[in-house]
Amino acid sequence: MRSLQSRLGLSLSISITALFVLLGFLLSQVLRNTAEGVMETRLTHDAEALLGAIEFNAEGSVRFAYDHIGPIYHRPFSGHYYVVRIGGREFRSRSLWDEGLALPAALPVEGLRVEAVGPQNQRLLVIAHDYQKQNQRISIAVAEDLTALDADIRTFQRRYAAIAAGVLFVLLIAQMLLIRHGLKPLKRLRREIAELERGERQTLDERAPAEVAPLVSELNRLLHTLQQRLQRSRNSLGNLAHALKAPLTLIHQQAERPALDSHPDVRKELLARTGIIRDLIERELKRARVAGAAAPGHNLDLETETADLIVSLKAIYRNKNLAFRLDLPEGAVCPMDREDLMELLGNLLDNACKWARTTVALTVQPGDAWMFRVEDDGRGAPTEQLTRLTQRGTRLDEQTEGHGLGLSIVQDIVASYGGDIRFSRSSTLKGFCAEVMLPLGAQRVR
Amino acid sequence: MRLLIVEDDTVLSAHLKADLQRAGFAVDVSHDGEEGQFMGETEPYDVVVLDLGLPKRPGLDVLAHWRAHGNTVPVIVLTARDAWHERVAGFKAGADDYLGKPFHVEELIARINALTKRASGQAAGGLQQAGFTLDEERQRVVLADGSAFDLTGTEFRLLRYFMLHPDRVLSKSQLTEHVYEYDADKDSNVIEVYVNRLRQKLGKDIITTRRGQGYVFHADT
Repeated sequence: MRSLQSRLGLSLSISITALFVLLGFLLSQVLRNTAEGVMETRLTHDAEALLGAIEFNAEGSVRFAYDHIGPIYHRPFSGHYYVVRIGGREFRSRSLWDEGLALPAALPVEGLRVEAVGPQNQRLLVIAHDYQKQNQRISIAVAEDLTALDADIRTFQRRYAAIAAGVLFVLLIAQMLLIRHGLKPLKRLRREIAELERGERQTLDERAPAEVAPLVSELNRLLHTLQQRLQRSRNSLGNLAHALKAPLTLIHQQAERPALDSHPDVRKELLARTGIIRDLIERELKRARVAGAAAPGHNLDLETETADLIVSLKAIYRNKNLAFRLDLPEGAVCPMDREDLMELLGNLLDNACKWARTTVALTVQPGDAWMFRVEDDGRGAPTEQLTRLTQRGTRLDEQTEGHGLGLSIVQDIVASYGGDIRFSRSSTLKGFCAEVMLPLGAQRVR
Repeated sequence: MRLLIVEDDTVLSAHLKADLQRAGFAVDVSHDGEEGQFMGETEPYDVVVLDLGLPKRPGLDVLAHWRAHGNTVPVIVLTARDAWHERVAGFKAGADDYLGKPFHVEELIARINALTKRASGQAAGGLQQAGFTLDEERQRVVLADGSAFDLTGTEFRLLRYFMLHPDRVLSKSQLTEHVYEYDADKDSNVIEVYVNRLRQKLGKDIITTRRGQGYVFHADT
């Protein structure tokens, strides 16, 4: 959909321009009507003067008292003309020279007002009327050249157009500024939404214009509800895990009691079953806890979170005295749910620590798709196992506790973010290499 | 070695206590955060096994409180809450190790042993001193010539404490505190009896008496 600004701008521009055009049209029309009205009055007066100048002598011949007629009618092609018809005879003004002026045989009672083409292609306004004088029917047509008026009106139109264009230009700029000013709160809202997506803020500013305020508060409410629901479901899942694991731990302890020393098969069976239940709890509950890409944005300081994780891993694998080689973008802010990031990197690094002899490497590259690569210098895995490992929940080594489990949780996180995971042999450390691509940037910042 | 378990599940903690006692630890149990915090502050424990989901006071708060007050007792967090962000929070609060439930008792014991050795500045692995090895799993002494003899529970705890703190003067009350549980009948004269028994088994010079001060275990006799 087109932006509000261009929408408003376009319709306002069109209406303002239309208004100016209409105004120009109306003004020239009024101007012409007024001028023609004046001209008509003058022509009527001239016709009446002409009528007064017509005299009939005794034998019925017609005589014009030329003194009573303006000299303008005598100058050839002066622009003022008349034709008088008395009983089939036509008298023309000298200004017509030898040209005629078409006059209909019978005039309507109310007279005639037409535009006609006169000598030298002059555009003429013709007024014609029938009169009675001394029982004679006299038709008088008086005409005046409209060219000068047309020229005046054209001049007016040109000036009007120039002034109107200037005013229009100023008005258009003014309305653009006004619209921009009026839409400023919306622009701010848009920026805030972008920040929300990048995880730089948690809620939108409620100080929005009345038109969008309900939208903003509804969005905030949804964000809040989403966050709360995620938190609540995470808490209840955590509690469920806790509640399930307590009796499970107890069964586990019972299985290890010396009383069962004489029944190693029972103990083995019990331990195997509790192990399966524990793995199921772990996998399903952790999968359910993944927030995924739908969660509102977060703003994670990658360096700090990673440093915390590594301190923890160093404590867990203290005896191995592992070296961690980190390649993190400086000051990077990761737009991802914190628990998800911790679970992702925790499991990948934990897996690497399990296998590593001396060194574990973590590389993170931000971008539209964030790349997380974890490598170790352990013995790695054969190629066919690497492909098999990409299948869900495949366990690479049943002996190493939780190896496949951790990676399968990683796979769940990757899937919920619509990302990709690849396993290969590390090119630098020669051990296992897990590479995760998450479309964090592309999804959140459009 | 004296150890504190802070765990609200009474059945689990009873089993755990029995298991750890069998492994040669003097074990006290607390069932809530407040009591656990108090005991950890007042008794000289060598290791604390701490659950996080505790009544009255959360385990992480207890741990953070100890650390804030300079209590450096080694702490193993034992919890069902083992998401990575929870583990990180545990280590940030000052945990030395983290073990998710359910767990193997052997793993817990191995981690406790590793932790106590690290806390006393010794290398990981079996305790080896003065020409003999302490087999912690079977609670017996293996001599250089391969012969071995068993130790009673108190003898084992005492010898282990000596071996973890070699060449240092250890007072009778200190030994009592680290060898006996909270509610045990702590007669410090009994320590003398056990020291003499260890001397009989390992040689007279292995532990010398400093009159009015205590005993010294000699690592290189």
